[in-house]
Amino acid sequence: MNCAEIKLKLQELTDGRLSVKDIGVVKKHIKTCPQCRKEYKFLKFVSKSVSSLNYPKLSDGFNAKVMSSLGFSAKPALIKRPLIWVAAFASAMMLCLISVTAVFLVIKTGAGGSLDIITDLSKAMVFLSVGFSKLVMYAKQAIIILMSLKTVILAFLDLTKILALTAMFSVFCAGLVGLLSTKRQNAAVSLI
Amino acid sequence: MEFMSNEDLKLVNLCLKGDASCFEKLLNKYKLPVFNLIYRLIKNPADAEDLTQETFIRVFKKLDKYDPKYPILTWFFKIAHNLTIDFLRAKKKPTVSIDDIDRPIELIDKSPSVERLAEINFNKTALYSTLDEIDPLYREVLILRHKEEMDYEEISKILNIPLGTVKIRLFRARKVLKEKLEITGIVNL
Repeated sequence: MNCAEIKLKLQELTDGRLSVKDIGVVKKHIKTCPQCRKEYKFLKFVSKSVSSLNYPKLSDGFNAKVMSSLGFSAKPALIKRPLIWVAAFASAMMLCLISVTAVFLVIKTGAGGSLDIITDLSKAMVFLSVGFSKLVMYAKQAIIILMSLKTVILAFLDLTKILALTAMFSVFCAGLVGLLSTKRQNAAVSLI
Repeated sequence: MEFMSNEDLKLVNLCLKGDASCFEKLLNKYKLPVFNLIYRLIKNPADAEDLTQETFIRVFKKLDKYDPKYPILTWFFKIAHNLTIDFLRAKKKPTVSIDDIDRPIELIDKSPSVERLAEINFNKTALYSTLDEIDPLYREVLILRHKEEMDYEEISKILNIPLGTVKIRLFRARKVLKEKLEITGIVNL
């Protein structure tokens, strides 16, 4: 085979389409012919370089554009996250308030203060409700400023779930505090 | 010939049953290779994105006509290629006619140039900028072969050209690339 024929074979070698027999012939030629060796080196270089080309980036809303063109809505993967954090923060604040109030009530009744636990609990619950409703109001305002209407609705669903859990936890805490206070009251009565 | 993956087949079937989330999964999996191919052909990100969007819309509408014997990406590329060629024709962008591109090869011995190339190192940046200068149809065939690792048969199917033409086009694409690199003198072997 002459160099012109080998050059054609080199293409096939680069593309992995050469027969085993031809691979032997071409490789033998490459060893002795610097021109064809350089040609092969060039072909390998092109192959390697093009294969390592980076993909260009598509815009962030690409999926949403395609899906809405087809009459579907794309998953709002990134939008929901900040609201989850707002909701988590609100829940954490709520739990702190409940815990502090519970400890306060237990200490107060334990130290011989008012034994009217129901009144204290009522006051505490009113205080918590007002505080929490303010917290929700602020969170809602922040959400409305930051998000579109659609996003707010989606986030609100998450928020509602967390609020429901928080409310359940509040009731549990209140029950616990009530139980503790009743025990202390009974103990005080038995001492008298 | 590579057949369609089970996962893709499952996604296509679920799409056909009306599960939009499965189409979004296909979109996420293949949007970048499709966008890349179109972008390398037309070199305009905004137009390339519009054509990528159009490709997937067309894919969705024709999903029931898809033949699972072939890899789905081959089909996506075929649609993307046809749309892009129509776009280029409408804009009258092609610099060389397809007939001209695929005319029989005249083997000219470029020995002196190869000699000149021998001593100097190549770098990828220069190759990429030269790649951008060559005819989009040459660029396309190189991307399909080396970036997407498609074999001649798959390329032939995507571009709707005979197997021999794929070979010729690849040969000429590399030849043009090399000649341009030699002329610029920036990059050498």
